[in-house]
Amino acid sequence: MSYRWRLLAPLMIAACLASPGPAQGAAPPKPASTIAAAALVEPAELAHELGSTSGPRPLLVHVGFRSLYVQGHIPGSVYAGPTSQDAGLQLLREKLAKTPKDQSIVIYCGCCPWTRCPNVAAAYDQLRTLGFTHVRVLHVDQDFGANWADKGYPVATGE
Amino acid sequence: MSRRATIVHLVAALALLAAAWDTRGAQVATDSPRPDFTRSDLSGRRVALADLRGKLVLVAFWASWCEPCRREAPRLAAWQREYGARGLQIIGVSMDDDAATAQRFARHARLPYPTVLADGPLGAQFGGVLGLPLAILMGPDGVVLARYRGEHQLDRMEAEILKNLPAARSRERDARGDPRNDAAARSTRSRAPDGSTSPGPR
Repeated sequence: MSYRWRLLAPLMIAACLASPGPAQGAAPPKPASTIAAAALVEPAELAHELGSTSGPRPLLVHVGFRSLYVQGHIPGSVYAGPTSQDAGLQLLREKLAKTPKDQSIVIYCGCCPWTRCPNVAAAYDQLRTLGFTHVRVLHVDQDFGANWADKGYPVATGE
Repeated sequence: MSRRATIVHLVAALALLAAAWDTRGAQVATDSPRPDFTRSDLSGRRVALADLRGKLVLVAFWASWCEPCRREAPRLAAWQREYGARGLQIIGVSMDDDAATAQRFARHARLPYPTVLADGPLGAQFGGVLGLPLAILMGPDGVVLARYRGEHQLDRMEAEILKNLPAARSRERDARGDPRNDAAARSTRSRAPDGSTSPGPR
């Protein structure tokens, strides 16, 4: 072992051990920033769409964590998450198994700031892989509270 | 200084000012009463907010999947170790969907404060948890002092914790000659276990 490695190896091991959390060893989730801008829908735009009496209503799918869904979600949403985990992706596949592939779908999470959300990109990729052609993602910049509830848009609580 | 450089400096100064005035993260609700709950923590010990009267309480909602929460955890742990003796008590509330995941994180992060698992009613008592991180600071007198939403607020949180520690408040009253201090001192003297008098809190 070279002198440099003898110095670096203990530091690298210490850094790995110091990193807390269950994410240890797991691949980091795909960031929401990888979703094409054309696939995003802003909260104001979606709220307007949901409030409109003309046109079909999109299927709303909450792909985040159940505890946050219980605290608040858009009325009429289907819960299918968390899609950062295999079990959540499986639930998403099950919930949308009978949905027509050309159905307009809006997925959302809002657990944390957009750049940190571990769920939406995985859900978006999964639905595209399954062949859904009209999938949009609600762009929640800060979190569901700040960008949806605080704006006065409709919120439902509980299961 | 060139005109371009002046404009750049002006824009930077305005951006700093805007950041300083952004109060979205800390919504102070000074009249809100202290929410109350009793739960078992992840180790099975009883945690009751009512038992913490007289302490400065920070209820910190977190989850193992929340990256900003994971980053904040060491700082919160340091506050508990450093300010615990001066009256700070942090209570963690995990939004993880299962206790095992929360326990795993709490062990890894060596959290020196109790953590309870969130449920619907508990979150609702704090106005709903519609995103993380979220923390609520409650004064020793049972009033909600601040509600912090989002990340990057740790310096402000620490400053407000320091300002509101029971020991700091007592010193402030000392400086003002607040009569409550005399009462507190008398009370401390009367409670001295060895029967001797002591100068009371400083």
